[in-house]
Amino acid sequence: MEHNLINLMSPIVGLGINVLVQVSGFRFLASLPLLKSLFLGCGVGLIGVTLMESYLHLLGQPSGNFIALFWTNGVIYMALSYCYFHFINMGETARRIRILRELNDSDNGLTMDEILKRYNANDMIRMRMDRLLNNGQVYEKEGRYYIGNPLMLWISKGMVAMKRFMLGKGSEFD
Amino acid sequence: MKIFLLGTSCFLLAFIIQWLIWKIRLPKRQAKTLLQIFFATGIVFLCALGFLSANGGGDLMPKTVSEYLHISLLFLVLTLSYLNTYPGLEADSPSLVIVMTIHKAGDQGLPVNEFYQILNDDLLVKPRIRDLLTDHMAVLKEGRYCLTPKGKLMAQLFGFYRSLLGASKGG
Repeated sequence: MEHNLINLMSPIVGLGINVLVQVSGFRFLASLPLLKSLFLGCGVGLIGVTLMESYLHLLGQPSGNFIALFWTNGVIYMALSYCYFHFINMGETARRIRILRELNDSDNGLTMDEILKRYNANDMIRMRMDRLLNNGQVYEKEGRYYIGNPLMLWISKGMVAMKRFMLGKGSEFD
Repeated sequence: MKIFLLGTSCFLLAFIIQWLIWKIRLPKRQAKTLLQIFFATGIVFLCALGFLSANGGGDLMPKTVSEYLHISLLFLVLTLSYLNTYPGLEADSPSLVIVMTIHKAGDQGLPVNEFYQILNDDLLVKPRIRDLLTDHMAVLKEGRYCLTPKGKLMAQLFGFYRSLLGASKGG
């Protein structure tokens, strides 16, 4: 079977299934946290892509083509899912988006002081420190913070190394 | 496999060009420049494929319109994935700053009160407000930050999706 437009559709349909399952799962399953709903959506979408690719194979695609197309469409689907994950994650954690939303909620804009009253470093750090303390990445002993589980430290060091490779500096403040 | 090879080759080529440009000079509006580099590379790459295909080219060249679209789709999603990852390199994430600050304090740890003095609004919030001005999502009018139509669109898009999920403001 010659390559045609149907070969492009499976990752896009897969993304549609992913979004539908993730949104409905998070909204209607009270016990499902956001991260798990993203994994659930991604997994179900991947099953959808596999089924569509298998169906196309049954319609008469040569087996060499099947493996190559399945691999290519699998990569496209995972990249689309990664973009969706980032979109959700930006809404959840990005400071720029939070400030944008605070400005959008005000009629005449906000001064710097008004922005900082609504959203400031103390609130932000407290939320993140709670997460880091709860999962043992950081611990507190006698009024001092220490690194606990080194996983987050390794990730941070990896990010700093990537920043050095790409930007020639380890931090935006260097 | 040619679609995968050509799509990823185009992406890698764009990445190398961007990396070389970044080594010469870091642009002020990095995300915008990155987008321009990747899309210019993509267009030139597809035109080159078309030219080579029309002049013989061999088995590796795409033959049909749908193959060109498939290569473009692969290149596009790889570019979007990279564009999504890039802000994490450009700006320091608060969790990264927290962990590296505690790590730098060494074996004696970091006093909790000192920690909150180091990680302040100047370090974590004000640079992101400046980013909104640089990216033309907000303007400063008589001491007040106001959204531009582009900023409003972004705020409403995320606001709509957060309400669809039934989630809080985030941040």
